[in-house]
Amino acid sequence: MVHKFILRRLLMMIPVLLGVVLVTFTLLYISPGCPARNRLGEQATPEAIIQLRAEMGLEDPFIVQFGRYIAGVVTLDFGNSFRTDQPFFDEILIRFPTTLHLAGMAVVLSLLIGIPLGIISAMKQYSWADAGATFLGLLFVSIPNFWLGMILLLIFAVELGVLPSLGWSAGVGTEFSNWHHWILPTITIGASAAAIIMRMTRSSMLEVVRQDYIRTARAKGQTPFKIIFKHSLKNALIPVTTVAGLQFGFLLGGAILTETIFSINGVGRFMMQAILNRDSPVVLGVALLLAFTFSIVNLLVDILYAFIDPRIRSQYR
Amino acid sequence: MSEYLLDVKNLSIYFFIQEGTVHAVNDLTFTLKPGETIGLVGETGAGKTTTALGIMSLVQSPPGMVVDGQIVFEGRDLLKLSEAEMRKVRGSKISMIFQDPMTSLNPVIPVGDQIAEVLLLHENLSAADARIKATEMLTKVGIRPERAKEYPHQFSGGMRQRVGIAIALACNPLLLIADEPTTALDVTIQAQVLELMKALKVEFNTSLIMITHDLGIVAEICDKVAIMYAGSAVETADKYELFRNPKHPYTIGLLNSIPDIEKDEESLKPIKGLMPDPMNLPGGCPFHPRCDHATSRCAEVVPPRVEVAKGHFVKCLLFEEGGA
Repeated sequence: MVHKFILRRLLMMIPVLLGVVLVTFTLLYISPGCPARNRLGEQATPEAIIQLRAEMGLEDPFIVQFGRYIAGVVTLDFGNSFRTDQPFFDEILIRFPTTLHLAGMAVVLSLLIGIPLGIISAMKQYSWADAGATFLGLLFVSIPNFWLGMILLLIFAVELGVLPSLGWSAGVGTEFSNWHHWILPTITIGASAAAIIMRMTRSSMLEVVRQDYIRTARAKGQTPFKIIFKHSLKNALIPVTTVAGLQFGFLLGGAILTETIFSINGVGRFMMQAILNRDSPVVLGVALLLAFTFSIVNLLVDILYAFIDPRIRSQYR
Repeated sequence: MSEYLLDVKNLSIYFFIQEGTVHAVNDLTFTLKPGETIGLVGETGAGKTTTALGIMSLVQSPPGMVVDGQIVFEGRDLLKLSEAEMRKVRGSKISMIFQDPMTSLNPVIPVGDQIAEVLLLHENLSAADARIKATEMLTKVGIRPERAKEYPHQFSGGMRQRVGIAIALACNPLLLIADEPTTALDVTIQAQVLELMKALKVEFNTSLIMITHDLGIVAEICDKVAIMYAGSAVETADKYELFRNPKHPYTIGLLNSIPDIEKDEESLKPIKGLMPDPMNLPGGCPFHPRCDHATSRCAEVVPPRVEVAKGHFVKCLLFEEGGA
């Protein structure tokens, strides 16, 4: 039955992805600027531009262009980049793992910081520790990550010179030996997620510890430590899982500016350049990829629910 | 050691909240012998549950605080025990069954493990032995042992309350506190759960504090009764004595408010007025604004606890020594 559920969810992704493509495609279609001119340069003659536009299929009606793109996507042909003339699929295969790696590390970091801080904050409600954690939480939720990235860069790379300003780029791979290149980008991107997860954990824990079953556990003579880790945490983590999944999706997309700041050759930076170059196949492809990843992560979160919460597990049966 | 298993003396529990002080339990006194069952009867807000949580040292603090009194259990004042010592008492010597079985079990832990947990805490058992004992407890409360692996949501309300009873009795406690254990259940299930509790109480020779607002349950299961009003036991007596010879006007009012199935009664006979706000109790006897026998003195003097017959205590100026 679990298979049926997963299959149904995968089928439900089709209209979502179609919607994403339609919106992105329409926005690109109506936005000003001409990819052919970008490719030929400012000196190109109008005839040459029109000829290239016809070759690129840009002179066809909207519906034809859209249909052609969808037909391509179905056969996993996402078109060639206008700029490099390489297939989008090949270009993204180089970059996507980098972005996935960055977002993954940021989520791990945010969980490692957010959950313990949230627990401490809830257990010592109204203490100075709680006040401090709540303040930091508010601070890091409010700070935009591109600003944080630049400030971190300025302090640790420029002033102190203890960490490299480059993230991953040519010559710097995602291998573990390059760990010091990961630090600043991961913190930049994970800080707000950590703050959000911390706040979620705190409020969720506060709600759980007021439940009757926690009183039952205390009436059994259970120790406070076990009441937190055995009775409360598993219940409290159910909403935190949702938030963590959403954050992972946001981080994938939100990496655009961070990747640019740290010169990371990932999907975000690729997207940024594509937008500037009016490289429609790449913009469309990345939007589609992010939407797809987001949907998959959501599906994984829902499956993860079933592991945590037996009530949901029995619904899938 | 005294003849009493539990001797609650002049217990007062207040909640200090922003809006003021809630006098949840006021100068409450009652005793319980080994194997005996006492019913704490009163309306919602009479301080019954707070009393129970007070005995377990589970009153939420802050804002709650035991401001006065003693809770002597097996010769020791529970209020003087450290939290670590109290943890050894909870679940093993005194345990509790809660009102709402739908919310008092942890939704993400199998019921068998929830029973085994209390055994692991207090009995010197291996995990495997605790699991075996847990399934034995399930059988005792009438649940098939193979259901131990199931989660609370897979059980009905009555079944969950049986699990609650199994948890409470697993370590063979000397005292069981049942906080309206059948209120959330429908009537036929209520009867089953009460029968089960009665049978297990005899089997385990457990003393029982039965918190209820149902005088029918008192008649069914209790040996003696404490009628609670505004956080205090206004009348305490043997069950038969109380039903035959009620003294306090509140008790009489309560008994009169039960409709008689034999008579053709036109309307119910409630006690006039409402329970006072525990944040703002009337001076003197807390019942005087609703009492037909109230005099001007009732508003000024807090009635002392008077023994009108052997084991029959009343807090009312009508029965003051040398009084009416």
